[in-house]
Amino acid sequence: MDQIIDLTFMGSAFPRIIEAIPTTLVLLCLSMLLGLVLGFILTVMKVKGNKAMVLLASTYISFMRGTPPIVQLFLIYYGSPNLLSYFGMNVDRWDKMIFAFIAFGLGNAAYLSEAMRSAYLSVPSLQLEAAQSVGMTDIQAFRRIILPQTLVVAVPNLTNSTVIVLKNTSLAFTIGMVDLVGQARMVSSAAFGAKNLEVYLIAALVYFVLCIFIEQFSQFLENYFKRKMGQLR
Amino acid sequence: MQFFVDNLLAIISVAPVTILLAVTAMVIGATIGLGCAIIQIYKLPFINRLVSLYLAVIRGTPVLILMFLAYYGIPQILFSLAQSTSLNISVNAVPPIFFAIIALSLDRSVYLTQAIRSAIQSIPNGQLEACYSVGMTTFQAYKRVIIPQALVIAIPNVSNLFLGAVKESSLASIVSVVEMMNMSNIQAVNSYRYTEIFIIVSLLYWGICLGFEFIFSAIERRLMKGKMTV
Repeated sequence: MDQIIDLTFMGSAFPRIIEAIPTTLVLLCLSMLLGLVLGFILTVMKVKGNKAMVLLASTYISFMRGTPPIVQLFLIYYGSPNLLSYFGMNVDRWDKMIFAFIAFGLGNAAYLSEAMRSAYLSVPSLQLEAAQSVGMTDIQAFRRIILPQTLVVAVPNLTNSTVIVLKNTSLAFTIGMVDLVGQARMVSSAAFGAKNLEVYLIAALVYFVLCIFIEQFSQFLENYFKRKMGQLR
Repeated sequence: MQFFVDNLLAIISVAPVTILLAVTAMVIGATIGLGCAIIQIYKLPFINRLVSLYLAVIRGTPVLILMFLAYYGIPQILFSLAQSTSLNISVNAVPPIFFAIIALSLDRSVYLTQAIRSAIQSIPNGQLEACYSVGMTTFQAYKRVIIPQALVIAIPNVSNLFLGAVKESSLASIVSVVEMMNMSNIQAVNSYRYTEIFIIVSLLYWGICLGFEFIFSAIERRLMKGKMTV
């Protein structure tokens, strides 16, 4: 071995590793979707709910923020088949993707709900009153007045969460999914484990590029919402 | 119940490893972070660019990948170096926790850079000028005036980052460091009772995080007491 990094090997391994990008992206999208829906419910519970609901939502958020994603993943992957078998459901044949996205979605919901709540609270309550005074219903006021302003504030936080979830999805290989890391490990095994450095460098590069794409997209979204609100010309 | 207590004790017995990982990562990360923050604040030509690139690359890479790069990559690099230079370096005796600490420190350094930079920049520039006017050097001004104030401001961020480090230290289990997560894996495989064990370990992590959160907020309250408000 005369060179430290085998560039020819990296060239041949690259196309094989990026085959797994769709798996990672699907997992990311599903986790974000579940996280957004659950996060929205948690936000509503915390903002509008009674004391019991606030306590429930706060406990859930505290637990999810206080435990590592890998523990949550293992809890769902190993724990939920046990739990569901009490209800007579057999999940042995479920795809691993399902467990992974449920675990990441549940964990992500806590962070997203914090982002949504702070964004919602940043809109002065006068705006709601003004909307009601011109005869809008609550839903109309929320949709037309509150939501657009909330979105502008929430986009940077949501981007951060997306990047964090993307990085967390790398854990999915621990339950045997073939995502970017899983694929990198397979390519490395095919080379008898002698090219670990090269495959993980490729994986790091791919994650880095994906993160840049997400950040660019969010910049675009933020400008779009701002322009729509007339804050940016 | 006996099962619960036994496993709880077994997992708690390695909790110091988890804390050690988190604390070391934070200390090394803060050292790198302070350097990067100062370079960014003073916008040193060229190095500033390098630091920005470093921050972006590490931020965009999962800790897991950093962990693998450190764990598999460093020995591989040293091995090729040893072969080409015929030096006698071997990393076989190095315990895996060393590589885990490198990976965690690199990751933390990025976020600590941001925390330190924003804390230092939140101190008005007039303070620095006031220090110069009484004849302090830049180093003295930072040491005596800027850093003590910045530390107080940085505490909430540092607290969050430390809790993040505790959680991320669970990834060290993948590179065979026996900390809380790895211990619970071992216990789960031995007893075939995965659900219970992972509930125990999640409660433990939760407890540790709540405990440290409490400690940090107590420190913050204590330090804020002496702060004069206008």
